Amino acid sequence: MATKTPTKRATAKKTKFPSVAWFEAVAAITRVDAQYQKFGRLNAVIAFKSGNSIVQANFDVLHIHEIQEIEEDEMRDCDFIIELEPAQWKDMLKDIKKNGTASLDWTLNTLDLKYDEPIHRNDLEDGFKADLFFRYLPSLQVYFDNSSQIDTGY
Amino acid sequence: MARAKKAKATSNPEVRQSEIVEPTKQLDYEGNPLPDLPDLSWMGNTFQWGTKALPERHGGGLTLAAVNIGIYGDIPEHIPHRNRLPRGAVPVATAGSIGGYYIQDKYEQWADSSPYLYEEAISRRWASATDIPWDTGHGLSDDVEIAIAQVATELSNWGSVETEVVSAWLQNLSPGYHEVKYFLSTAVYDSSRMEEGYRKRAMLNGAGMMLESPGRMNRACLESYGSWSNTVLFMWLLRGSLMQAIVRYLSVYGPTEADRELAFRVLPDIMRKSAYACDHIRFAISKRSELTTTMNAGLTVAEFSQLSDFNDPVLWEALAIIFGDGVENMDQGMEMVLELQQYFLETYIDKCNQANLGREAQIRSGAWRGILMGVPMTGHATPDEMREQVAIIMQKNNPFA
Repeated sequence: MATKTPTKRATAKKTKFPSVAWFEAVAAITRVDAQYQKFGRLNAVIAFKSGNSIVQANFDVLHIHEIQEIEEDEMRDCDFIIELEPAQWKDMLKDIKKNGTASLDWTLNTLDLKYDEPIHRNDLEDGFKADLFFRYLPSLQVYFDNSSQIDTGY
Repeated sequence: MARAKKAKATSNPEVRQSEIVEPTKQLDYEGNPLPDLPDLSWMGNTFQWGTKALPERHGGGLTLAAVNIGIYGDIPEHIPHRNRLPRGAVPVATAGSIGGYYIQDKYEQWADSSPYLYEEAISRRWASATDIPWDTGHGLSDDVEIAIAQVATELSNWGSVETEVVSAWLQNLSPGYHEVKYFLSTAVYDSSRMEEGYRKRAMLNGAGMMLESPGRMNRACLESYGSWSNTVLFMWLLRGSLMQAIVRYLSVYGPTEADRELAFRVLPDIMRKSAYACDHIRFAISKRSELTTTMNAGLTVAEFSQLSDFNDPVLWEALAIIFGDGVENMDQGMEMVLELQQYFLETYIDKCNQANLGREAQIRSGAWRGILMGVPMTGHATPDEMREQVAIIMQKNNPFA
């Protein structure tokens, strides 16, 4: 087994971020994650925006499904949007890959507070929906931390 | 027993039988009387037989929202019964009135989100004893340890007040709106968890419980007798916004991993209460628009209490020591305290807007203006000194000066 591992790593296919395939791959890991389940139910349709790419996912109780690309004008139907510049997403995911989980400077919570503008919003300025971000932060952090288990390409 | 005595007193067996057995008594095939059947006429007393609730998909289970179907999902505008009658149950005359539950109107307590917030609170429960990595909470310098113990003492104190205030109101809210009462029960528990979580933090390394908070805002919450809605405004819109700001900053800038994790776990609990508050106030105003005036008047008074607490330097100095990582860097820490105070006011304005209560003009032009213009309230400057600082900033920013 030890001799096979390097070969496997060298040939491992990278999943491109952002893409539906990437969010599906992380969702598959997260759905069975004991910590994610322990954090409990959530109900939010969330859009993740990186540059011109927007992927939407339905965090439906403990399931994560209906992952799809959407257009800019469809973001208004989402409970909230998490938006980072492509380089920021990349740095965050690299930090997670390196440490297994996000280090303090790269958690969603830290990024949302430290940047001049919060990284989350509701496009219709519905504060009730935008605040779901804070209610579900522990679960969402587990979701992104699970990206350490896949090989991400950019 | 009465029937047995009567049977003994009769000598004729035939007469005896006719007295013992009711005329309608059913007999078995050998002529023996069948035992009395209970009167089951009560079994017909249901308003809607056949209403069946289905569990949610994806692991959600049988939720409170899922059983709000048929007539059981009809939430009336007024509950006429002043007793424990569960909504949808058949009233009985003997239950009478116990004279409590005087908050009988929907607009006085309702929020559409209540059943969902209840399920969320139950599902996302946690324990401060085992879910916080307490072993990471050591190794601070004495000044920072004392400072975090001071902040923990005040947060614990605020949690205690919330627990008592909500508990006291629960007995006055009609059981007809059980979704609200269920959610508020979780709010009591969440507030208790904040109280005990921060008590544990204060006790972790020997600093112990420090000074209680000045108490004017505590009293405003405890003494908001006018209505439950008033209490919600004071406790979860105004003070809740400050609590959110402090906990939010501790979740990122807390001095140890244990401090950050404790704040990170408390934050969603605060946000559920904030969600109920905004939803409830918005609903109340949608039903009784005249409430806007009284609610704004109430908030003006409560803001003075909050402002008065702001003039106590202890909390701000403790936070400045934490954020500056020691007494020697308090000035830098105070810059972050100003940021926190601004975050509080912007959050409060946003929440009031969510609730359909416009407070922005009052906040931006009133006594809080200094903070928004960059003058922190530290408890050391007099109002005149603060006004002077604000005037200097305004002059600097005025291109025509």
